[in-house]
Amino acid sequence: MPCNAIATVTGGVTDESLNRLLAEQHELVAATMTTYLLARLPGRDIEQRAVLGGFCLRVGGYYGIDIFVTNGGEITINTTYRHQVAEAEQLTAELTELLTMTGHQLFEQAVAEFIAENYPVESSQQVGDQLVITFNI
Amino acid sequence: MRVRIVIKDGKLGFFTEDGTFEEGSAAILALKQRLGLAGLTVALDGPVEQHRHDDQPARTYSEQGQLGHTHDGESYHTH
Repeated sequence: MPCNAIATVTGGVTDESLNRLLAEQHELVAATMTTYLLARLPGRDIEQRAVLGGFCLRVGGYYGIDIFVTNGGEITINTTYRHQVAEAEQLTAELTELLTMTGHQLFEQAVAEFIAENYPVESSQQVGDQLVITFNI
Repeated sequence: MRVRIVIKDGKLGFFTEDGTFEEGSAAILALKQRLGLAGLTVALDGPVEQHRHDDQPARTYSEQGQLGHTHDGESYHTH
């Protein structure tokens, strides 16, 4: 088969799609973020509760740090005291990265499921940190 | 037609492995549209391209964690 028959293009998941996936899996997202904070802040009082349109993680009790996460994956952090701002900013950065990673994993799973449900799959395998799916169309 | 998708960190690479470029291009665009209809919208980085390797084997996977393409699964090269 001549190599010049190859057609190829790259692309990326849109923010709209990512936000929808995070919203659909908001319970998984909440559990993932809670687990992360429990490991990240051992010994700190961490409470998770549902709020309208998302969930809230309270770190350090009533006078601690409140982390609001919308079902679409937007993070807002409120602090009680000025000295908590630096930690809040650090947590915002870390949780934003965690949310993005979680969204990418959800996207990868959703694409793999879509392909498996709609096309005959020859192989689906993890090659390093890439998922490679070969199928017929 | 055999199609390969490579996914990493929210990025995708689409590759056809047989047929003509025109057929492959149409297949990739149709697949992208179907993914979009399923709520998995993808923004392409550019138009579908035809890769030519007249004097060397084409390649598929990445050594540096970047999306690439191949026939033989050996080391990756960029264009």
